[in-house]
Amino acid sequence: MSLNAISLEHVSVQYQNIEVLSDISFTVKKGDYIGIVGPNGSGKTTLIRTILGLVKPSRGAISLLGVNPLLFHDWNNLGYLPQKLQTFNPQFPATVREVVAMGLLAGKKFPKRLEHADGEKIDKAMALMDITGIKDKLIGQLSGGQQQRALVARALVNSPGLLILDEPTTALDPETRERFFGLLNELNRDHQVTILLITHDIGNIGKYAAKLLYVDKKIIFFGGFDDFCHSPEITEYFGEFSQHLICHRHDHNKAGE
Amino acid sequence: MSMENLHFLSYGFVQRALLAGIFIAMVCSILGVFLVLRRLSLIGDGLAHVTFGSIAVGLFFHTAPLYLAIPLVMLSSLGILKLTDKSHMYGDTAIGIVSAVGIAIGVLLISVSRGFNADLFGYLFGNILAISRQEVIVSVLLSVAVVLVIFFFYHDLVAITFDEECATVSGIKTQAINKVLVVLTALTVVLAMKVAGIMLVSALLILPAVTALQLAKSFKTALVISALVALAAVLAGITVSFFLNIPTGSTIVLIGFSFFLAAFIYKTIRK
Repeated sequence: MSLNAISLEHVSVQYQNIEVLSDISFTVKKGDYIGIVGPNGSGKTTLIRTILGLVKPSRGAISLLGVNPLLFHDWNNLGYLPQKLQTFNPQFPATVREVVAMGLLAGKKFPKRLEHADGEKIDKAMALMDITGIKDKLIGQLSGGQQQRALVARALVNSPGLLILDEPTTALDPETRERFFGLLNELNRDHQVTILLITHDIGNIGKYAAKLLYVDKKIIFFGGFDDFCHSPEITEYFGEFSQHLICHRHDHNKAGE
Repeated sequence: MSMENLHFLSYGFVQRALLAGIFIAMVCSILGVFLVLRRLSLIGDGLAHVTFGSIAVGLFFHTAPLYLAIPLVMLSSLGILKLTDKSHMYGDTAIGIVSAVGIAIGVLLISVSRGFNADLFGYLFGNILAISRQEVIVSVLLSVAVVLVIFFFYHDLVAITFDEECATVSGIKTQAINKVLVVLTALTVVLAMKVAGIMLVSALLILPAVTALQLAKSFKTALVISALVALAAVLAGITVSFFLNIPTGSTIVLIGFSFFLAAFIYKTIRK
């Protein structure tokens, strides 16, 4: 059985003949916690959409839990939170509980119904994200942060071994964000859940993730945060001053833990 | 309603209309919720226009128009999907193209042959009170088939309607399910044409669904409310049009609209 959760070898992606990702190679081991960072338009979302088989690479090979994403079947073992819902209609009349339940029911054929054990999983996922109190509210009537928490609960409901999250904390208040990062830490540390998380907050993610993947069309850096602070590639990319600023904030965050 | 008035239920043609109406209303209302939420409300209108072209082809070649329309409209629905997927065109543009071609073929054939305008009028405005026994049997069987397929793929359809990308990452074959959805819509539009006519068929898909979306507190209640509204509109429409001797299709649509208006006002007042 493969020890790698994800591996990419020389992957490039083109949109209308323009290369948006170039020669990307890296490996995510099972149990890793990796933060993907990079500026706007750097290809972070395209990268995880390619890993998930939603975008076809123009070159290279990808393995998702040991298989090509296009042949992947173990979707219950993968929790995904997109940056934003692409086709969601705010009029969609589903309660928060129905949305979380979708994580269990999607892909199941009729007459699959929710059983007692499913109900417990849904309640647990809602409790983790602190949305039990709003379980009967319609999803379209919630604030951005509440919607995001419901969608994270949907991604967690199957207790997946691999979590791929695209900017999961953008709409969360600082307190909820801290609690959410704590939850991810717990899942990674105690349950060996592999986590791949896109964020803009380099200082904060450095506090939690074991490794950073800095992307700007290509991989600028891949490694631990301490190495990031001493990486000549990062010095060249950011300049010494910015690198120092990021790393100083990281040290400050760590001290505040 | 007095007992004397209830006598109208003993007419064979009224019984046939009510039976076919109940089944077609059910299918339209359930499918409509998915279509409206996916911003595909106008696909009913577009496919109805293709039905117009297909009926004209059928009448032109003296074949049974309804049975020719079913495969042609199904193919067109897949064409809309293909145009949307392959050319990165928005759904409304693809519907607009297919719809215009359907109308153009219909008008061309009418103008060339000149002989079947009266027949075509029935299809344009619908006349469920004139539905034949055989058409009732076909309508009931196809309606049951469509509802069974919807329930078989229910969880997939709900997930795709919520968000297509999330559905794909849940392991759902979204392209295949989308094909199922548009083919079912094509079949439903051809069936519903007999009730409301080509001009008004999309109202049967849209009005019950949007009424339900004003009131529903969950997805399942939306489906139930939509079905009840459609049922009430069709039964009331057939009854009222019989007694007032007015067109059935228009009556059904206007009653459906009044339900929507009532739900909309109720929701606005409650806010």
